[in-house]
Amino acid sequence: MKSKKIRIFIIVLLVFACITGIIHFSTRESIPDDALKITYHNKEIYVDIHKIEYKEVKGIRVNGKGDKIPVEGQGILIENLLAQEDIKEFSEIEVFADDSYSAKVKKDEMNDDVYLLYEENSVRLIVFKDTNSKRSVSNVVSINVK
Amino acid sequence: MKVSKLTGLNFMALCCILGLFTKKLINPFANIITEVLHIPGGVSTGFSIMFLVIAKEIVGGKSSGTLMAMVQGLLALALGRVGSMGMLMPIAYIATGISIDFIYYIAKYMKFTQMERMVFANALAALMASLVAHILVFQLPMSVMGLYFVVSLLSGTCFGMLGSYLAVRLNIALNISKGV
Repeated sequence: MKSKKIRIFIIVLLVFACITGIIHFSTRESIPDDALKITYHNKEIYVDIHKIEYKEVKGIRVNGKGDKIPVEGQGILIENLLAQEDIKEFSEIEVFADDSYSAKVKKDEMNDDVYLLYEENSVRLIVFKDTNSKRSVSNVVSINVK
Repeated sequence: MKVSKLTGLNFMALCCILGLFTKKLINPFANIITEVLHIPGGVSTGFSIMFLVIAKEIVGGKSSGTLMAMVQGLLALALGRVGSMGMLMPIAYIATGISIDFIYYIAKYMKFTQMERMVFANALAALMASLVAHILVFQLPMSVMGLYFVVSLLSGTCFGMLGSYLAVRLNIALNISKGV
């Protein structure tokens, strides 16, 4: 690499990468594998995703390209999952993926449309009535109930 | 390198298409990195932007970067390749185009070499794409956002260097075909 400017630029970026990496991994909450964390009124509940009582789910979801994809598999209504943990009064939930991507769903949007779909060793949030993939969150690791 | 107007426009159109469709080629590799780092993206964008920077370098033109980015954005909309951004997707494309043109504009005054302007243009454009994605879709917490942006810059830098290598070879090939 001949350019001194590029060399300095890469070194600075690598230093920043180390700093931001350390900050990211030291502040990142570690959730056990195969667990789904539900936070409600400062209480943390851990649910094993393999032990959730799923039922057959059928519907159509929209992917990133806008294509309609038929969905058929095992899933659970989020309302039912929360009810199993005695969470009935809430106004909104925020669902977080492993990569920190998040999506919010209001309670009045949950008219039998919002599911956690069981995928290979992970769960995916699906809002069937959505017309884009903004709230199709794969690898869900935690749910913040407000 | 001066190319004729029609050849230049054809080359720009080819690079727009390449930028749009080759992203998928490196997505599996990019996903490995993003999964390890627990960030929602930022690696493959630099690769797709590389083609725009190569076209900008070969063809030149004051605002060719923005023009290509607008074409790419419209193509993405027309083909439904809009991801989570939906109708706002062209904003991300246009932001990258403007960044490329901006670096090429200041490169004249700062006397950047060919590699420097390609690397900085690619890096800034990748950062801008990530910034738009962060604002419109991800809205990440600060700790993740920092790493996401730095990874975008790094990927933009690496692919900018690759683009510079390719542009040199393309210039040689174009010179040979012209009999220079």
